[in-house]
Amino acid sequence: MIRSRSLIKTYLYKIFLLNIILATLFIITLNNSMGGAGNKESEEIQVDKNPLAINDANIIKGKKLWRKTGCYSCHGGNAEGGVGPSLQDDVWVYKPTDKMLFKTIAKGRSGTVMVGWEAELSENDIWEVIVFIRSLYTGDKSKIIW
Amino acid sequence: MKEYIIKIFILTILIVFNINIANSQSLVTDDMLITAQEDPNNWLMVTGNYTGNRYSKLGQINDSNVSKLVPKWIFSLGTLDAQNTTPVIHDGVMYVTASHGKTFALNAENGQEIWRYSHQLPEGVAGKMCCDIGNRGVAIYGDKVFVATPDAHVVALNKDDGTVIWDETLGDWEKAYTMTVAPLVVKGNVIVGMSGAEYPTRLYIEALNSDTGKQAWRTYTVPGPGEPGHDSWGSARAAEFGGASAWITGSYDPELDILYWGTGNPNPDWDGTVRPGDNLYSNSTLALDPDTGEIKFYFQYTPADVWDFDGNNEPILVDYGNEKVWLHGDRNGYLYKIDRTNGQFRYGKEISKVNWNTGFEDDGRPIWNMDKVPTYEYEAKDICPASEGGKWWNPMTVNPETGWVFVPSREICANIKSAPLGEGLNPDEITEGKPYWGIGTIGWNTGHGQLVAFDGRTGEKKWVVKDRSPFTSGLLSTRGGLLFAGTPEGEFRAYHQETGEELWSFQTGSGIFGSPSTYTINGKQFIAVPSGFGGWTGWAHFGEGGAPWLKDSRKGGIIIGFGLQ
Repeated sequence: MIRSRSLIKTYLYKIFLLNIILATLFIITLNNSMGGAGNKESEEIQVDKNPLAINDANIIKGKKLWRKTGCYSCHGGNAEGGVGPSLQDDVWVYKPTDKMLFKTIAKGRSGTVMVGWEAELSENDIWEVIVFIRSLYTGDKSKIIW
Repeated sequence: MKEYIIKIFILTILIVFNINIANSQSLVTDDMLITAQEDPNNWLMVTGNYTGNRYSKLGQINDSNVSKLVPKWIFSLGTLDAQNTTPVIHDGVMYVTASHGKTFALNAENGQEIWRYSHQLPEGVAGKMCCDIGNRGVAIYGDKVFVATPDAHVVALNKDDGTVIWDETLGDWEKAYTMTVAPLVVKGNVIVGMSGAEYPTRLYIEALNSDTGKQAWRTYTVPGPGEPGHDSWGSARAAEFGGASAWITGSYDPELDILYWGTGNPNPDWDGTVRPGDNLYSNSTLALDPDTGEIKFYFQYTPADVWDFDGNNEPILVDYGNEKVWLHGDRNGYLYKIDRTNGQFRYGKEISKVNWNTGFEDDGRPIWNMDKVPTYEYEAKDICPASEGGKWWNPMTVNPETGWVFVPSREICANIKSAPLGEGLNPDEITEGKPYWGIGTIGWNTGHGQLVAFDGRTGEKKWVVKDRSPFTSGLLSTRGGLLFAGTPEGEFRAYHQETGEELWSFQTGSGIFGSPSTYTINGKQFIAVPSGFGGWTGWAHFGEGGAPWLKDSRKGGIIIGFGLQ
C-alpha cells in the first residue's frame, strides 16, 4: 500500500514535470508562430546602422529604386523637396538616423502623405535608397550622424 | 361633428403644406442652380454659379469699407497638407472639404461644426497621388452633399446630418485613378473627372444619378480604338495609357444645354517621342452633351504637349452682347477666348511671358518655337512659362458686369530635357500605378507672382500687380468693386478691381491654395477662405526653384469667416 502510494506520487510528479516541459514548448512555439513576423520586423527596424556602404555601386542601385518607386514624385529628382520635404538638407523633424529613415520608408508617417513602402521594397532595397539619400546631403557636415 | 372633421382636414392641409414649405426651403433645386448668380446670399457650387465666374453681386463689403474686414470665426479642419476647397453655402450652412478625405458642415455665421464625414482611406493611397491629398470641394443638390475622394469614390451624404446615402467606386486607386475634383450637378447628374495623368492611365469624365449613384455616362478623354482621335497618339499602346485627367470642375450653359469640362496633360508628361500626334483630347476644353456625355466639339490648347501644360483649367462662360464665349487661362501662358457655340478660336493673349510658341494659326493652333522643345538629346533652356504656368490650376474670376477677367499668375521659366524609359527619372518599364513623367532633367528658374487684369472682350491687359510669390488661391470678385486673392505665404488680400490697388490684407497663418467665397447671414455679408499650404509645389523647390523662400512652408488647415467690424 505504501509502495503503491509512493509509485502514484512518483507518477504524478513525472506528469507534472512533463506538463511543465510541454507548456514551455507550447509557449515557445506560440511565440515563434504569432510573434515571428513582429520579431523579424523589430529586428529590421532595430538595425541601427545601414549595413551598406555609401559607394557608387550602391548609390546607383538606390537611385534606380528612387526612380522605380516614384520617390521623386513628392521629394524631387534629387530629393530637393516638393510635396514632401527636402531630404538633402539638415532640417529634419526627427533625428535622421539610419533607423529612423528605414522605419519611415518601410512604415510611412501617420497623418502625412508619406506612405509605407515595405510591400514593394525589400530590406536591402530600403538600405540602398537610404544610401542614395545620404549621397545627396548638402547640409552641415558636423550634423552627420550616420 | 362635421365642423370638427373640416377643422381636422384644414389642419392636416396646413401641416402638409408647412412641411412642404420647410422641405422646399432645405432642398437645392435645378432652378436654384441655374439662377445661382441672382442669389448672392448663397454660394451654391464651388464656382459660384454655372458660368464658373466666381463673381458675387454682393456689395455690402466694398472698396470704401473693406479696411474694416476682420475674422469673425476660425474653424480647424484638423488635417494638414493641401487645403484646396471652396466653401459652398446654402441657407446659413457651409459645406467644406479638407485634405485626407474629410467633409464638414458648419454654421456659416459662427463656424460651429454641425457634422463631419471622414472617408476611410485605404493605406497607401497618398502614394498614388502625384500632387498631394487635397480636395477641391463639394456639390449640393436636393437633400444631399456630394464629394469625390482620393480613392476614387463619389459619396452622397445626407445634407442635414452627413450620413452616407450612397458610395460608388469609379476607379482603381492602386493604379493611380484618384480624385480631387469638386463635383458639379447638372440636371440631376453628379459630374466628376478622374485624376492620374502622371501615371500610365486612361482617364474620364463621369456622370452619376444623384438619387442612386448609378452611372449615367462615362466619357473617356482619350478616344478608344476605332473612335475619332485614337490615331492621334501614334500607337494604340500610347493611347491606352494617355492620361488626360479632368480634375477641374466644369461649367454649364443651360440655354445651349452644353457642359464644358477641361482635360489635362498626356502621359508621359514631358516626352512627346513616344506619342507622336496631337494626343486628343488632352489639354482641351470639351463641349459635352450633359445627358449622354457625347463630345459635341472641343478646343485643344496645346496639342502634342511636351511641357506638361496640363490644360485642365476652368472655362468661364461670358456673354459679350450677343457673343457667347468661354474664357480660359492656360498653364501654357495664354488667356483664350473661344466661341462656346462651336469651339472656334477668338484670341490668345499672353498672361505671362511666353516663348514656347511664336504665335497661332488662324484656328488657334500654336506654332512651336523649336528652340524650346525638349528632346532626349537637347535640354531646352529658359522655357516660358514653366510647367505650372502662366496660370496654375487655381481659378480666375470674371466680373460679368464689366467684362473684366482677373488671373492669378506667375512669371517663372524652366529648363527641361526629356528622357526615355530607363533614363532620367523614368522607370525601366511602364507599370500601372507607378509615375511616368518622361523627364530627364527639369529645373525651375527663380521668378515672381502676379495678378493680371484683362478686358475679356478684347484681351487688352488693364493692370498687373506683382508679388514675390505666385498667387496660389482661386480668385473672387464682387459687385463691391473688390478682388480677393491669396498667396502661398498666407496673405489674404483685397484689391480694387479697376486699379489693382491693394486695399486690405490679413495673414492667415499658412499658404492659401483654395478659393474664397461669399454669402450673407441675416443680411450681413461674409467672406470665407481656406488656408493650408500644399499641393504639388515642386516649382518652389526643384532646381534653383521658382520661389525657393517657400521651402518648408508652414502647413495648416483652417477656414476663416470674415465680416465687417
